[in-house]
Amino acid sequence: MMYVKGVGMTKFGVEDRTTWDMAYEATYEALDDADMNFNAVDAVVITSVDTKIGPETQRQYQALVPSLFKKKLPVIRVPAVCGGGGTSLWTALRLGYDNILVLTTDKIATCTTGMIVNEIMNATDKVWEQDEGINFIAENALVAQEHMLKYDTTSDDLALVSFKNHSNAFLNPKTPFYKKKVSLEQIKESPILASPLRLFDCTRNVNGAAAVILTKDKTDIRVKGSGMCVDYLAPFEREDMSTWRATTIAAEQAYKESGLEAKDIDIAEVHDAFTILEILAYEDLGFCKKGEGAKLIRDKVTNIGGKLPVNTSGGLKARGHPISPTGLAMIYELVKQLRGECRDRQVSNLKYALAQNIGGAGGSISVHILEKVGG
Amino acid sequence: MILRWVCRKCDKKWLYPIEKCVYCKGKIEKEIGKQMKVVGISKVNIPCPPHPIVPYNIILVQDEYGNKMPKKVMREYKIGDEYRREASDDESAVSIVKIKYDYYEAVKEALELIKADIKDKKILIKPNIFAAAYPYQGLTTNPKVIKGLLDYLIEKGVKKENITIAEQVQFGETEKAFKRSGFSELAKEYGVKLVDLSKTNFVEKETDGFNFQISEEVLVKDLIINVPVMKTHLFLGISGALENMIRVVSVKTYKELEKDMEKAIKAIGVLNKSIDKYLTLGDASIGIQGNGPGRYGEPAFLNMVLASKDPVALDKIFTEIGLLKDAKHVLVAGDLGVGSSDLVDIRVVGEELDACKRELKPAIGSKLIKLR
Repeated sequence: MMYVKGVGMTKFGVEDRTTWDMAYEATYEALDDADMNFNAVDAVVITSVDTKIGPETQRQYQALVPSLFKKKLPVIRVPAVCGGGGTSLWTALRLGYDNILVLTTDKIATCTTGMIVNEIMNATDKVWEQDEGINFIAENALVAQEHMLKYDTTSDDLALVSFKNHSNAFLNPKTPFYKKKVSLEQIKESPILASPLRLFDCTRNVNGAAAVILTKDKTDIRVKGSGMCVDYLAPFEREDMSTWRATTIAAEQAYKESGLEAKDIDIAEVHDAFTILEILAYEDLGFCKKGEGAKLIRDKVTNIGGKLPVNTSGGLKARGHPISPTGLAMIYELVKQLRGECRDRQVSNLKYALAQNIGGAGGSISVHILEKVGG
Repeated sequence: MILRWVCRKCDKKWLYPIEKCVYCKGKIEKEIGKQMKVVGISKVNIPCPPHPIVPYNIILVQDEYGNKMPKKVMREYKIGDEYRREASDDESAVSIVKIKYDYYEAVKEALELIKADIKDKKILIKPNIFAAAYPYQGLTTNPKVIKGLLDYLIEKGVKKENITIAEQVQFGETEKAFKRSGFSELAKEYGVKLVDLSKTNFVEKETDGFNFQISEEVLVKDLIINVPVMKTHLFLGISGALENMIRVVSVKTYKELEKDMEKAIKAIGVLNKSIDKYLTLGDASIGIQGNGPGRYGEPAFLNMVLASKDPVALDKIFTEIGLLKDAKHVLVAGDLGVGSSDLVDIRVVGEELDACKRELKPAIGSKLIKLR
């Protein structure tokens, strides 16, 4: 059984910072939070993506860690694109170290939008998808369309997801949309990037880092369940694009390990890189029946103040998505929520929290369940 | 066409041309879907370097086996519409086909879309092996494309003894170039002749005021299948179908032409006019951009093949795909009546031209490169 000893995270934004600088800040905050120094860290799991579009071209991230923290120790790199944070956490939980740092850092807001779109497109199959103009927005647009055709989900439902998450980010100082109001009209009138998805259905690419220190020592936050599954690379290759089976399988593993069910979860952070994915997550995690995800957002069940608040941080939509760090940013938010440290967006009476992190288009998916212990 | 590789016993399908099932260890079959219906559509408004022209549509098509694949198109479709690719027997038709890991299927479709007639012919395949280079460098014709072509020819009944692969290198030793580019091994594997054109007899041929010494090996064949690598070119702008045929002349002719660039540009057109009709299979599986055609170029990773009976049209379409400026030798060849350099007269089949356009880096030279 592993516990969370400390968490750290930079503000996610478009500021021009190096990955090592952000990694150092996130780690420093996590060490402070854990009330320890780097001497107590036995090993590090690090994740980052090999972007070719920024000013940084170094690839040896393992060696960056000892250089940065002045300690020779085992460093394991676990890249899984957008799912890097969750996959690294899953890995670290299974390595058996007493104290292990999970660290993620990425710089993606480095150049023009087209170049970034192209860079992120690298997480799809070159021959079947990239050559056919499939970028990540289009990939998820086809998923949204299939869900809409099957289950009567509408663009208005997607707008409600966006509006909820922007409203949450308004309250979160670590996000680029902190204290920035986004209206429902603004969302609905934003330009269509790949039909049916609009600009405000899509995440904001940012730079950032996040860190989590896991320990065998008992703390106030226990990792109660952990699951991971990787589906086929291209959604069109799967039986059904409107359900992401890897989420269901990873969730089943996490629920089984924790002895919990979906109905026991009090709060969740899910991978809403595109608004449709939050609705898919509701269904695939078992928060509702298949095809009824849109009802949860219409009925405000997942709002702060609802029965099951989702993405209180602002989600990928409005907290921003620096690729690998996203999975640990979810853990950061959930730990802070479970401890009651989220001020204006604090949810009361929390015991169990769930994080769902996705790499690629429904490819590498991890699900983690945290439990508030004692207190 | 939608391709899948299937293990019938285990009921598993792959997007990749694997040969044996990892479960039952049995043989994998190829499944080719031909009846395609549109089951999803997204109109994309955000450009990126490989897809700079917006809006474009991505349609999700499904075949008779239930297999799906996305297709980039510019045309408008509705869900339920049929997706078809019509062949054309226009002399200036150019086919564009994307390679979905399977070179044979891409080559076959490219040739069938232009209704290439290869039956009962004595064929000379003219690749581009201008120097010794490894296949991965993209400077010489990809042996995988030639392998796909050989499989297709043999399947269509062309006898191995009637197939010759022939080329002469411009730089270095021919034997070394054949070996390094993978052609020695390929010719041995298929039991076809591999000929160094420089060692063949050359026949004097006078056309439009030019005297060419052309390899007899080329002139005696029923059909030349020209397989150039589609490239940008420091001197010519691009090199493809027309330029690749220059190496069927003797070294003496070549050196004579090389002295005067303006004359050479016209000579390329005249030479192509003087050789009986041939067809071109343009190898853009990798393709070269930037300061090609040699080592200063860089791979373009276009992942496609082009085919046409009209070399001028094929070269013109390549400049359009790469959003490059028109190459003078292509326009001159068009004026000489070798083929059509006017887009109005060229019918593109297979992929839609606008859906394939992306900015290739032109050959602009640099102070590092010493021009001859």
